[in-house]
Amino acid sequence: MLAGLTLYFVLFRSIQYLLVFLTPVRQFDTSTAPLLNELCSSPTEINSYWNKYFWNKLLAWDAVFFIKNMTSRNGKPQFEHEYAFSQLWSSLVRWVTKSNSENIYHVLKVAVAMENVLFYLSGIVLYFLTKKTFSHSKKQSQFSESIARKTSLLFFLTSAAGFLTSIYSEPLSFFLAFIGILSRESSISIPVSGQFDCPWRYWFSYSFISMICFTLASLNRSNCILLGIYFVFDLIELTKNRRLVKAICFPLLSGLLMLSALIYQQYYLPYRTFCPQRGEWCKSQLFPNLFITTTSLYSYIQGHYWEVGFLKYWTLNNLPNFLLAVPNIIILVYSSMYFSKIYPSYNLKPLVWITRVLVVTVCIFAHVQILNRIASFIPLHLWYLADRLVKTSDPKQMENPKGDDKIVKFYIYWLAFWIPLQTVLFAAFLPPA
Amino acid sequence: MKVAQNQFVQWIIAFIVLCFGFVQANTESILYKVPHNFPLSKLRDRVASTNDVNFIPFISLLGEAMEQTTIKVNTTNLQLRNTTYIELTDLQADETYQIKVCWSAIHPISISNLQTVVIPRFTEFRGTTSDYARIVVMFQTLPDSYPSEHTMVPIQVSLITTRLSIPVDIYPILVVMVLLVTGLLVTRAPRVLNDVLLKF
Repeated sequence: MLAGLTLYFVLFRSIQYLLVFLTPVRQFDTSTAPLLNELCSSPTEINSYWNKYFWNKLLAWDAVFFIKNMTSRNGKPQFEHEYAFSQLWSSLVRWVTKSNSENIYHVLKVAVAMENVLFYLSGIVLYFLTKKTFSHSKKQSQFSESIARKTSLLFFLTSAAGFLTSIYSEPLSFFLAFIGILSRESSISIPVSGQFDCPWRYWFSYSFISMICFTLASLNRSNCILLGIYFVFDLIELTKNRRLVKAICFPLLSGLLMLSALIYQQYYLPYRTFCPQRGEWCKSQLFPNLFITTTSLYSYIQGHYWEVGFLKYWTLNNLPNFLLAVPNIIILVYSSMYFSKIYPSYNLKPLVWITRVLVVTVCIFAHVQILNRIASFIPLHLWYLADRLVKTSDPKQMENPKGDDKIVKFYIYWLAFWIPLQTVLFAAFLPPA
Repeated sequence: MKVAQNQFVQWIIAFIVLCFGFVQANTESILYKVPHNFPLSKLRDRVASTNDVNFIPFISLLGEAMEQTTIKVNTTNLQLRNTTYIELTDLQADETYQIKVCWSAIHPISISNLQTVVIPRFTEFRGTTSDYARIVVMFQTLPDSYPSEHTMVPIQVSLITTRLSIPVDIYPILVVMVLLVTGLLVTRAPRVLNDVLLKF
């Protein structure tokens, strides 16, 4: 299993990096040149063969913000809007490259290596998570093994793969989210009677490991805050089953700690840094002399600098971006229906809700095409695809697929075009971002 | 089958070209068509007739399909919008050009009012005169961050010839993408991928 997955991972990444190399040197957005002139003092180094034909092309879109933070002298964002880009990921790279963190190419190479390692490890963790989720009995062990292999392979073919050639923060969140979900899955028990429980012996893995992983994933990528739905779900279930002490010591404690960390990052730190001299969002204090504002810094940044907000993206000129997101919207919606209506699974309930909330939130509030990039921290759609692929064991059946299998085939065919095209578009500094 | 493949390739190209129109982030661009009867100067006439014209930075397309220049714009003045002017020279009548302004995201500025203006001959413009009508591109720069950045921001301005309404610098990328899609279709990559996933 491990050898096969590793082989395919190396193969897919090699093809992608070959495409980056083959993309023309002159990018559509020519701003990488002035960026490099400012961050790297040696023109010879900028124009050396491998930098010119390969590494420079990876500094497109959000990678610009990450490289700026990773190579800055004090490691702190210079401007307000730069707080939207993970400080955790930048700090981790700075920590690894501490002896040489001002050499842009050294930092870039280390960050790309870390990106790939985290992406690969996430796939491996996902394999064990899938096995754990789908093996309820010995009978199902072969089925779970098969579905786990396919899920991890599908994860390596994520619709975010083009961006993940660079130094984006997503793989860190994927890794933490999968570890957190796996730890939570290992800490709960659902006996045949259906009485949800959290045995005391798993307190550490639930209230510490899961909580830490979900919290760090959310601090890294704010969309991972939806993982908190696990704690809400568990709290409701334990309360319903009259296990009040456990409800307090497991999900309530974990959820509160996660919430506290997010309030510290999203409200306390920004307020201490910018207010009251900033005005704007600082003025929306909920109570006088309290740092809690009705608009968090992150929401303010998204709305003010990137026009993110209720139906703000629903304009005619964004139609191509909606079309780009359609395959993932379909597959996410179908996967939530599949695991709630067709093959309802009790232990997948929280994930179904996380998927639903993510789709609705992104479609209504955000730049909808980012769904292609951020959705992979939820494995539900990958399980849907893998489940259908396992159940359609006969390749002839896939010749003329029907129903769900038709959707699965369409999605895989789309990925086959989308991933290489997205890789070239990214290296050429072209949209979609 | 081949007709369907060709249609698919055409659809991909059309979609990509459509997407180019919605580029956001740190690029602003406009298309400018030089009128067919525009009295364009020749380089030697311009040099002979005016000595002061080069006070305005310029981009010359002499013998080139595209050219670019990097200028530094001061973002210190918060009250007044900084207006930058660049003269476009050695253009061809009845040709359409793309004017593209790019700046790095590490400098949070916004560019607005990107447009071209025609300066009639003998008309004084920013302390300069010319015996020939001039085409000048102008845009305004404003800091767009908190705290505001007070520095000289390097901005790249490119002047690019278009062919079939597509800027020529896009063609190499389009060629790579068409070859890529064709390669995927010829090798039946989607089917291969589907089979790999089924058998793995």
